[in-house]
Amino acid sequence: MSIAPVLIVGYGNPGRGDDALGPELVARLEALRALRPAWPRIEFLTDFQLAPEHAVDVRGRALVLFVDACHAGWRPVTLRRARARRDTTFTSHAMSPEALLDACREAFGEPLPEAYVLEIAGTCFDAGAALSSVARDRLDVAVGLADDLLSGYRAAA
Amino acid sequence: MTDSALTAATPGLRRVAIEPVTRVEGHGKVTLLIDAENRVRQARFHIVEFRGFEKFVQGRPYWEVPVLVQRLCGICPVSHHLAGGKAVDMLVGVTVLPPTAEKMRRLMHYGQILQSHALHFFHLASPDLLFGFDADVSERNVFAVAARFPEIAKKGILLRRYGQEVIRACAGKRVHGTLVVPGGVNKHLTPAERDGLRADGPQILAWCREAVALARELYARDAEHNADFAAMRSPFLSLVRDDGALDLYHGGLRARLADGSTLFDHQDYGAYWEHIHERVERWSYMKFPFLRELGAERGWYRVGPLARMSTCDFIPTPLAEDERRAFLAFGDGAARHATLGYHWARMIEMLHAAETIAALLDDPDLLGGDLAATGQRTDRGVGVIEAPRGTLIHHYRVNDDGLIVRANLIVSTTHNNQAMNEAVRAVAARDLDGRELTEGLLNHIEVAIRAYDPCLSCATHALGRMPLEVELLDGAGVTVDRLVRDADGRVQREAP
Repeated sequence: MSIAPVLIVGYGNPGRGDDALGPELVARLEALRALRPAWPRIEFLTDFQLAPEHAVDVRGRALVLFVDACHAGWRPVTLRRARARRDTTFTSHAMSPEALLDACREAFGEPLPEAYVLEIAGTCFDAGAALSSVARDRLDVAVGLADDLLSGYRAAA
Repeated sequence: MTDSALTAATPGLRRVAIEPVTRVEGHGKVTLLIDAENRVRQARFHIVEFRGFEKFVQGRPYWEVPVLVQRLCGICPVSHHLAGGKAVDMLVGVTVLPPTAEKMRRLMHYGQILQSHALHFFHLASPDLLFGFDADVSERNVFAVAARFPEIAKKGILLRRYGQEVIRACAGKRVHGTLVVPGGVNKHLTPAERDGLRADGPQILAWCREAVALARELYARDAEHNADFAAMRSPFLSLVRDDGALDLYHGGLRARLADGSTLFDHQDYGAYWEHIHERVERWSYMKFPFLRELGAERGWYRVGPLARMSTCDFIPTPLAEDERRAFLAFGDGAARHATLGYHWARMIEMLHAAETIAALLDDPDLLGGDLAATGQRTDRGVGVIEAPRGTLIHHYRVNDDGLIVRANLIVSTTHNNQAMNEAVRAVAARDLDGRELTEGLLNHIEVAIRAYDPCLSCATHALGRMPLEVELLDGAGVTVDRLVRDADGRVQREAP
């Protein structure tokens, strides 16, 4: 079978409080998958952070959604378009989606997928902590945004 | 006045801080205490993030350890999974694993070695090595490598990917998967998994050979400088197999001095504390281990790929052993002590990992056989492996209810703590003394630290923006100058 046209990557350390928001959102979407027959075929992936080999996962997709926790900012949940861009996040520790897209383009020389980043602001990143109640509320909002994106993608396809 | 007693408050001295260090795993900070003539009086590599895992794990049941410790670090979860699992084997009284279980663990471990070494060499170290330490920061990064050497960048990605696929086949997932259970493993390799990995094996082996050749060429290109850069001579420590062979999964502890003589050999790692003691410095969260036989001042040592080239008597795979011999002979033995020799040694180990994976995939024990053994439970478990970055020790004490009451971890980077400080001191003394500070010069210090591939903290990447900040402080602690490298790579001088 060919690869799924849509990839959703949730990244973060599940052992560090709200840093688990990325993997948690992926788990929520996987559970929701059975209730959304209209969604396109999706591959779900979780990891601690984005690293260069994820360029292989991104390659050949039509749509990629990166999901990450972030520090509290002016918006609790943000969905934004991601485009290939060189920055200094060339460490494996903190490679950005934009840098990963750029690495994918440089390495394989192929058209890049349409890509988005869903950022969810966390409040507590302590070792061994559970998701904060604030983060749980924001997770519900983020699931809704991802649901809209995936349903809309199906309609546009 | 001793070196350690110097502070920024000492009249006539000023402090330079590099914070955080880039292209290492986690956050570190370097401070240089400089006098009015720009002579370096003191150099320190600080660890500014406290992990606290040993406290966090207290009160948890021992059988959770192999899974819990994977979340200790997002960079090397497999290493912690295996070392923690070996400690739990001891807790459940299993001293000999079924052949299938040990071979599955070895397969997973060598997959981890391959992917970790590939990432470090191709994506973290190669910009410095290919373009030079003084190249402009806009050029000295992995994107420039991809643009000018696309085949190198592509092979780096695909080598890393192969290692991850080996891990996935063993654990069910590339990340967060579980293979190790108390006394064994929870799965065999399926024929389809084996065949998939086998199909790519010859290509991976060929690329690993090319990588060793590239590392050797980059070292030899300026051998005299590379031997002298962050130069030091130290004892080396690692596990070795009963016959003295390199073994990254199991063995006894061996320490060799810089002159090649053996300090101790085939020591049971279950009593590592008889040889390895730790001291604490108030300025760093990371401890300073030392060899008891040599004492706290002289007993610091190095671990990891460079150390393992010297501690073992041979590598038990033919291609890597040929390369090890060439490495040890190079420059009348200069490379074996060189900080930058780590890169070359790392690629030799990557080749060894590829050879080992290929041999394991031919072993029918992976496809069937007993998965686990049982034994009589004990209250103390110690697990040690040779992780990509060096010797990794997990030590747990449990109570009658099976709950952990004490834990001690000595991770690879901690073993190399003093060595990294020595490297910073050597570079600062040679390259920074009496000169104005520039981003390129400060990068020399980072290059020295980076050679050890330090892993300084857990993976909370959400915290991880990685700008570089350099502050100059006078003897009173007042900032007199400040250099900042922004997230977009620009270096700006900011008003104090």
